[in-house]
Amino acid sequence: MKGGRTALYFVGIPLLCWALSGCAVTGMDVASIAVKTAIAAADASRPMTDSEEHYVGRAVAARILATYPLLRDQGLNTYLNLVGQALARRSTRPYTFKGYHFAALDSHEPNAFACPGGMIFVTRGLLALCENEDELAAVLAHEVSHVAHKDGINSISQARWTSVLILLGKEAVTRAGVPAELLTLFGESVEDVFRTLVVNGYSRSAEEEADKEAIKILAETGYAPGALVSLLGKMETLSKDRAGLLSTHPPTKERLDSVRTLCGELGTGELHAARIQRFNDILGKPIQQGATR
Amino acid sequence: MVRHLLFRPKALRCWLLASVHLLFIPLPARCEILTVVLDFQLLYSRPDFSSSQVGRVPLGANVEKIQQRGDWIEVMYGGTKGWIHSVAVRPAGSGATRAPIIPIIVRPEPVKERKDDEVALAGKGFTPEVEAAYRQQHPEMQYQLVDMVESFVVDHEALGVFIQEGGLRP
Repeated sequence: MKGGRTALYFVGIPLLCWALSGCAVTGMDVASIAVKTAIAAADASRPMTDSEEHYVGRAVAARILATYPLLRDQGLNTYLNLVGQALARRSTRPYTFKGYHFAALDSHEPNAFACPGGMIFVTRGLLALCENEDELAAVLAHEVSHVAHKDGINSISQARWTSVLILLGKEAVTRAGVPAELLTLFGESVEDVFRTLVVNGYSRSAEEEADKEAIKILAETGYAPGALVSLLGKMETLSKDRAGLLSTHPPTKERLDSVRTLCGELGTGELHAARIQRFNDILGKPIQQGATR
Repeated sequence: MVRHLLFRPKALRCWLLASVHLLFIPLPARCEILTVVLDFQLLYSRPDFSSSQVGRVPLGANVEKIQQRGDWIEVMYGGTKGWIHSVAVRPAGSGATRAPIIPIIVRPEPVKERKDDEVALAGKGFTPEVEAAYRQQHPEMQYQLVDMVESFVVDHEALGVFIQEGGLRP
């Protein structure tokens, strides 16, 4: 009797499990499809992930670097990264998928670009407008704010992103390699962001919000928030003289007044001797075209 | 007599077993509340930045801590469960209301591309594979320079010295 019970445990139960598993195959498939459908439904309206933003940002950066040469000046780029990292940790988005990186571009046009994900470029022309580290910090804080607010990514049309999600919902995408349609949508998304950054510029409200956060970042880092006022003042004067430039950061009188009011509330900091010295060491002399150090 | 019975070998075994079992009885869960101290915070489905976003939490919101894994904390907010980076929260009532200062430059884990079907839809958007195909299609793009710029990293110690020497806030 005891032997019969043991046989039931060791032979009968595995047999029963095997039999049941055979019957359950169809049920499992149905469950699997249901789970996938549920995930697809939940994913149909998801925002872009930080890693997806990172890959769009890399492509935008690659496109910018195909337009403007990189200034291969190690001392300058290290300096930009030190100032930039000091600011980024005080922003509303201190971390991104692969962190913030800063670099100079060899262009006389005064401009700066914040690629999605945290790669930030500032041109030789804009660096020449900065008279001290605090003004340089004002430029970088403004660009960090654009990254923090995802202004670049937000320029991708909703219809395009919806098309991406619909495409991702198709079973084939999970099985095969990279579908041509997805590649096209990726390229179009990159173009959307590139056009906003380099050609059309951000909306007025996006610029105002970036100014607001930049002032906050500057004050919290210990830089003079008033540096943004002095820099925008110079850019406004320059844009009157040189039409066509600064198209992506047009400093209007209203914008300048608004920044001045905000800075007035926070008070102005003082320039620090060590900051003046190190700025002059790196940017005291005008950077020549094609300079490598 | 009672004392004698309690210390009989069989009774001792029972006591020992009961004590061991007590170790596994879960204590009433203490709910830890955290306050979100950064703007624009997202909740992620997994403790990494490559996972899908499941919700947003506003600055100043109180969230319920469920568990912690490294730098990530699983929280519940408004009926939504998700992971948030620890830098964005502080214990409620600690008085922290503004953005905390990150003592180190946060370097998230490298991209973890999951292949299983469960996360396929969330992870199969714009991926390294898409970038590779796009790169092949557009050889004019300066991706090698992008890699170079991504290698521009400042040492934590150097940043600390830079901040201190420049009279900036530590």
